[in-house]
This record gives sequence, structure tokens and C-alpha cells, in this order.
Amino acid sequence: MTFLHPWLLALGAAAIALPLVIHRLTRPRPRRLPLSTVRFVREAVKEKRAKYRLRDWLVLLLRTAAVVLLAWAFARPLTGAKPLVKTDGQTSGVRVVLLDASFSMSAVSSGQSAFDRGKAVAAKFVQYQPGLRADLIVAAARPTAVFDGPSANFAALSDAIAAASPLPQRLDVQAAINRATEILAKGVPHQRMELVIVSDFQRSSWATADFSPLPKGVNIQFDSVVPAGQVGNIAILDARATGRIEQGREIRLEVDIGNYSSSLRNVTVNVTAGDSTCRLTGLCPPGVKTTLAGTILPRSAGWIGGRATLVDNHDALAGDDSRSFVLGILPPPTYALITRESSRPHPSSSHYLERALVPMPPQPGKPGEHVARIDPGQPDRAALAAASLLVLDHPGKLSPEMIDLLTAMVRRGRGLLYVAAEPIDASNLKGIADAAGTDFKMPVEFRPPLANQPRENLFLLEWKKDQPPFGRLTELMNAVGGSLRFSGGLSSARLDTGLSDDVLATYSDRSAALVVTSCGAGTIAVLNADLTESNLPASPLMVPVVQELAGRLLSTHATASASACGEPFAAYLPPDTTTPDRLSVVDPAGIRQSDATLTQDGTLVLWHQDAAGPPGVYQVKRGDDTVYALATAAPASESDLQTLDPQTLKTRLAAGRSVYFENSADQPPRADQWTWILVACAGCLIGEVGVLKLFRT
Amino acid sequence: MSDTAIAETTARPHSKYLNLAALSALAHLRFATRYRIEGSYSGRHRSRQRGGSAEFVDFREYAPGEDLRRIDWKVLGRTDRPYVRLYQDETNLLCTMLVDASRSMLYAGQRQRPEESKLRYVQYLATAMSHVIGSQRDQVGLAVAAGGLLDFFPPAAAPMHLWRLQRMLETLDDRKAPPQTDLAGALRAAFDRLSRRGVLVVMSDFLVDDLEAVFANVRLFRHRRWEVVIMHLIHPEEERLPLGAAYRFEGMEDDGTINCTPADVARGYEQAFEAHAAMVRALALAAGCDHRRVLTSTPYLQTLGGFLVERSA
Repeated sequence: MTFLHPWLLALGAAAIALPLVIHRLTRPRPRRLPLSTVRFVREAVKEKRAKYRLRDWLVLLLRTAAVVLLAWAFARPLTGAKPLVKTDGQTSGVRVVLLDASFSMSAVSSGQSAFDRGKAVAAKFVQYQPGLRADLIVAAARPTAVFDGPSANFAALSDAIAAASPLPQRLDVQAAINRATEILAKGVPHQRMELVIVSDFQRSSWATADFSPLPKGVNIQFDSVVPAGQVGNIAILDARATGRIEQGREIRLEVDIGNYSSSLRNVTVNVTAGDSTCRLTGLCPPGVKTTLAGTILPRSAGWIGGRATLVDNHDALAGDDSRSFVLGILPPPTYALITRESSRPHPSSSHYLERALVPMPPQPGKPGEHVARIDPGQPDRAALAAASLLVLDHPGKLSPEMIDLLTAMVRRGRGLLYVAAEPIDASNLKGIADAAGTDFKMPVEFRPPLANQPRENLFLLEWKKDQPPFGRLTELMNAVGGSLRFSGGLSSARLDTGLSDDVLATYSDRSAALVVTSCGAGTIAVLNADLTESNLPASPLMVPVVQELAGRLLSTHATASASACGEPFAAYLPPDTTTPDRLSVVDPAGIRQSDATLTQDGTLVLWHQDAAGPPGVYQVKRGDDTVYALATAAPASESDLQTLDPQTLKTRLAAGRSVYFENSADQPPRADQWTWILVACAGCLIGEVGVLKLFRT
Repeated sequence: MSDTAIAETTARPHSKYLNLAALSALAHLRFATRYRIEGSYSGRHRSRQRGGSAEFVDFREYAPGEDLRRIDWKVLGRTDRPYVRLYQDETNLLCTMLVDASRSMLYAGQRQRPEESKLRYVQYLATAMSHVIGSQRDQVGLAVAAGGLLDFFPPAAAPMHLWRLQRMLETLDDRKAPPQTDLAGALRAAFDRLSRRGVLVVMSDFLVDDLEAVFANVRLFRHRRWEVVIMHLIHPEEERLPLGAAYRFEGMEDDGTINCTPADVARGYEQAFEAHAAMVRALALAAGCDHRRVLTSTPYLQTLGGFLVERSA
């Protein structure tokens, strides 16, 4: 315990003798009186002596305690532990000041941001003290030290603090601690080491901090800059589109709202995407994430940037009241139906598939879905390249060139639906698997059925009810699924190399009915049935199952969430971008990014960057055309301003090191006990009166 | 009393503690005893002896060998049985006043004025009582007790004796009393010197170490058929301690000093003092003595008057 006026304690120690002096001075001078009955006085005194001795001791004790408490109160005791780091006087050693510059430090309270308070606190620790060398680490996603080692250039450190500003990044606590460890290790051995951490000690960042890399003898001082009773925060945590984003089709937009306040809030969000807007409104309970949803109708295909903004929201952290997102709007899908069957409308497997893929013909003059029939013997490469989904049905024996072409397209992101009805299809699937190599791990191996085991009247034994195409069709499958009968197709055998979860449906003979497996950037689905020999085309399940399956196989890369600012990221460009030549990355202001790297990775182009830039939409352009876009935003975890319990820092995380926790934002919090001490002093005096009264009665 | 003695007495000044004008109001009262006494001369008090010349008391059947002159012939004639007439013999009173002159009797309250001391009160009271007894031709003696028996005047009725006795009472406070009171020893010494039974009046504050020993000697007198009157003298300021913050009480008989705040011990003191007074009373009554609690705040004439009135009745 420390004192504001410690010299008063010495005065108080001297004042302890005061009651004795007062007692002697105020003791009544006895009046001499001859008395014949002294024997009775002596008798009475003897009887009362023990009692009054107790009274005298109690009175002396209470009176002394009152004086001591009075001196203590005037000395103004400061509660809490003594700071480990002195900001004045001579000190010999190394000091590292770690200033948190994460996004949460920009939270404003009482008209001042936590970072501004932190700068003022940090500046105190980088002032000149004889014998001291110091360094400053401004830490966010990456820690940045002013010097490589401790320095006596305090002016430069002060300038660095003045120039620092909060970043829309999370705090990588461990990287910062490791950096501080490196700097402290450069000090003179056996000298005093001090680490001052100025932060808001946000729980999401500091809960997993590990101080074990620091040297054992380091003195850690935590300076919190968060005042008590900080204003609550409402934040947009994510904004995204769900499902296939397609031109001319309504897109479902979802916005996640985090309510980190203590009350229920009615939130309104304005969403703009290109020239489309929508307004989302909803109630957000405290302490949970709420998803608000709405729809927009994109009128053109391509990459567009969007922004979700909270309306009339006044909270601690303004930076998370809006969030950028990107929509990659695709044109209506084109299906390439590769089959040997005639295009004449008659009951055939390919006819059933064509009608199921495009149940309604497109309106004239408007873009819409359509099916292009392709003869596998004479493939139209342009039609294949334009197709969004490849559908193979009764293709016959595929040539190796055709297999290589199809496999390459799938690996770049195309979807492929193979309806395996004939024994030759087993050979084709094996050829595709061989061509795909390690990118394609089928869970089963399809084989031609044995002659003595005819595949007839098979029914579905089980299916994955939580995955497409059955996920949204649970009721219909329960009603109709049991009546489906299948014939034809291939027998199958389980392979250990594949994932059993890729088998979505199984027949009554334990052969695979539907298999969906990823292959490179694309997906391959195998429907193991001869549709002409099955009653599926005649059932109400045909169209929804095929639609759901096609939806799963179509590309969904445009729904990626925003990348976190300051974090490294990597993203494949769309499969149709085959080379990084003539590609460039521009930031939200249209300025070309020099630190972005575009490299060839197999058949795809990889965009990677060591640190994502400030919030906004970044575009990969080829000339004036945008081939890809990506949004960056502050990490959602930074919006939760809840702080870590200081006790956790001091005990569990500090691992037994000398630590001190101080909340600089709550000054003066510690010298307020003198009033209670005065009350105790008054209590002693009242107690003295009470003792006298008690013994008198 | 001879004419010479009367002349000598009238020539000498009487005691300063003798207020004849005040005592004239008590002239009609006489010191009466409760029991029959044994006197030297004929007087107004009933004697233990029964003779033939005095007041008739009763008849008793004649016993052979008795003086035939005492037979009541008239009764014999009427009853044919011899009866002897009994008469009460009257004699004078032998009263001995045993006065405590110890240092504790000098206590005069907070103001410490000698005229308010217990000894001064005894001087007035004993002088007045000796005058009353002497004026009714009874014999009065004086024993002065302090460390032991300091002075002793056997009972006598001569005016000169009275003058000397009162003179001794007058000079009591001039004596230097020994530090310790030995009232029991004084009683024992007086008992040894007094051969004829009479009345013993003890005037003391009874502030002694061994109260039992005192009353053991009182009981000696009672065994010899003495009438004993215990006058327990109490100063009003002895009953309760004085008010004030702190006092240093100094014992008057070399019993040390003690510092205390009276308020702290007042209750205990009062209880102890009352217990002492009750003990004196109980021991006196148990020994068959007449006990009187005499507060020195009461005028001595009132005390004496009350005593005599009670006795006369």
C-alpha cells in the first residue's frame, strides 16, 4: 500500500503518544482529603479495580486507534499494488512499451477514444529517465517496433507515439509479446526489464495471451485505457449473399448484426449493391448475433461492390457501423448436355434431364437458362466453354481427349453431372478419375453390373437428409421417396481413399445411388440410374432433385465473405481466368496495389497478399474488365468491446511474473478510502464514549 | 457535698462544652435504667436489693430461719399462713461513659472544621450527659479510649469529680492519640477497674480492625449484668463519598492513602459502610445492648433529649 502524503504517517506515529499525553494533562489533580473510612474506599476500589483497568485499556486503545486512523486518513492511502514501473527518477534497465493499435482502440467514450488515452499513457513511459533505454511497439495484426532494440532516443519514441493511429485490424497478442521478448533480450543481462502494455485488454484478443516467452525477471505493467461503464456497441459483423447469385434472379442478402450493448435494439440497415438498394429492419437482442435478411434484383452480370450501413446508430465504435461486400453476379446458367441420344422429344433419359434442368423455356429477348446438346463424338468446344454445368447422359465411350477436356474444365470450377446408366459409363468414370489424379477421390468405384445380379426394382435405402439435393426436400422425400424404384446403373464398391460422406444416397443392394465429390475447383456428381428404367422421371421429385443437384454443382465462389484487414489472404480467381498476364489489383480508390501477388497455380490464378488493405472493395482487373473482386473489413471480433478480467491477466496469463494492473482511464480511483478511514476514526471516538457510558452504568 | 466543695466548684469555670441554659430544658428528665442496678447510696433508681424500708413490691411465703419481723401478721391472721412482705430498695446510678478519642473521631468532613468533628460532638454530648446524671445525684465516670484506655475516672457524684470529668472531656482533643484504635483493650481495662455493676455508655465510631473483639468485651459487661448503651457516632459525610473528579483519601489512623474517582467507587463504598453500620448494630443487639445510631448532624441536645425521653418512658 502506498500513500499520497507518507510523511503524515511519521506525524501519526508521533501522535500515538498524544492520548497518553492528553490523559496525563487532563487527568484531574487529586484533592487531598483525610478520611476516617479509608478502609471502605479501599475495599470498594479493590472490588472495582479489574473492571476499571479493563475500561482504561479499552479507552486507551480506542483513543490511540482514533489517532492512528486520523493520521492514516490524512496520509491518503492508495489502494492496490504499487506500480512496477516508475515514470520519474533514476532507473537502470530496459523498458518496452507495447501500444495496442487494434480496431477496438478507436472506441470513443466521453468524447475521447481509447487510443488517444493510450497515447497519453504511453508517452509517460517513454520520457527521459537516467539509465533507461526504451523501445515502442505499435501492435495490431503485426507488431511494429520503432527500433530494433532498446534506445535512449526518447524523442523518436515520443514522435512515434504522436504519429500512431488505430488500425482496422485485430491485435495479434502473441506476435506482439514475441516481438517484445526479442527487444528485451537485447538489453544488458541482469538489468531491470520492464514491459508496459497499454491496451483496452479486449477479451477476444487477450484471453489466449501467453506470456511464457518473456524472460522470467521481467516486470509487466498493464495499463488499461477503458473507462468503467463504456457505451455499448452495435456492429455489422458480416454481409453476404446466399445461394447462386445470378443475373435476373432475386438475391438473398444476409447481414449479421452484433448487439454488444445491454439492451434490446431496433436496428435499421441500408444495403446498396451497384444500383440496387434495400432496407433491412429488425430487433437485435443484447449479447447475441442477429441476422437480418432482404433481397435485391441485380440487373446485370459481373462483379459489383456493395455496402451495408447502420442507420442512426450512435455507439462507441463508429468504424463497424458499415461494411463492404462483393457480389459476383453470374449470367443465367448454360447446361451442356453431352449425350448420344436424339434431341427429338421422346421419352429418353436425356429428354427427362433436359426438361428437369430447364422446366420453363426462357422468355424471348431476355437472358435465361438453356440446354445445349453436344455430341460426344464431335464436341463443340465453344459451347462446352460457355457451359456452367456439364451433364453427361448415355455418352457412350468417351475419347481420351474428351475425358481430358472435361476433367480440365471440372478442375477449374465447372460442375459435372454424370448419369451412369450403361456399363460403359464405368469405364468413362474411371477415365475421368485417372485424368483428375489426386484432385478426385471417389468414395466408391463404379463397375459394370454382373450378369447374374440384375439391377432391378431397387429402392433408396438411405439418403443424406441434411445435404442438397435432399436437404430442402425432406417432406417430399418422406412422402414419395419410398415409392421410387430404380433399375439399371452400375454396381459399386467402397473405396478407402474417398470420403464416405460423399455418398449421398444408397440403394437397397448397398450400391451407391448418388455420389457428389469435389474435383479441383469443381464438383462431380454421379447419379447411378437408368432414368428410362426408373419411375423417378414420373415422380414429383424429378425436377426438384435435379434442380437442387444442379444448384449445388454450379459455381458459388461469388459469395465469399470479406477478408480481415491486416491479415494475409489468398484467393483463386475464377476458373475462366487462366493466366495472370495483364492482371492488376486496384484498391477502393482505384490505385494499383503493388504488394498484391498474382501467380499461376496449376490451371488457376492465385491472388495472395501478406496483409489485406484497409476496408473497401479491391478488384483484379484486366484492362477495364473486373475479373474478380474482394472486400476487406475490420475483423468482426474487434466489435465486441468486452474486456478481460484483470485478475485473469495477473494470475493465469502472467504465469507468476511480477505484474501490476492499472486502469488509467479511471483516475483518480484509488485514494478514496480516506473517507471510510475517517468514519472508522469517528467510530472509535463513539466507541470510547460508549465504553465510558457502559462502565459508568 | 460540703459547703467548701460547693464553693470550690462554683469558683471554677465550667466546661466550655457545658451549656447550662440549653440543658435547663432537660432538667425535668432523668436518666432511667432499664434494669435494676446496684448503687452505693440510696437514690431514685431501683436497686437489685430488696429491703424493708422502701416501696412494697410483693408477698412471699415465709421460709424458716427468716427474720420474723418481716412476716405480715395481717395476712397471717386472714389466711393462717405466714407470708413475708417484699420491698424494692432504691439506690443511686453508677454510669460510666467510655469515650472513643481515637484519630478517626477527629474526622470533620470535607471542610475539616474541628468543631464539626465527631470528637467535638462527643465532648458536647458526654459533658451534657454527665451534667444530667450528676444533677440527679447519680455517680458518673469516664473512660477515654484510644490506643487503649488512656484515662479513667471511676463513677462518683461529687461536684469536684464532675468538674474534673468535664475538664477532661474538654481537653480530649488536646491529647495526641496513638495511631491505632484499641477499643477492645480499653473496654477490657475498664471492665477490670469497674467492680460494681451499672450503666456503660460507649460513644465511638467503631472504626476498628476487629469489631468482634470489641463486642466480646462488651459482652463481659453484659455478663456482669451491666446495662450497655452503644452510641454509634457517624459523621454525615462518612455515609457517602464527596462529589468530585479525583481525591487522594488519606487514612487518619496510619492506614495509607488511596487515589480514586469517587464516582467510580461510590456505590461500593456506600455498601461497605452500611454493612459496617449494620454489623455494629447487629452485634450490639445480639449482646443485649441498647444501640443508637447518632449522626453528628443532629444537635447533641436533641440526641440526648431523645435518649432521656425514651429512658424516662
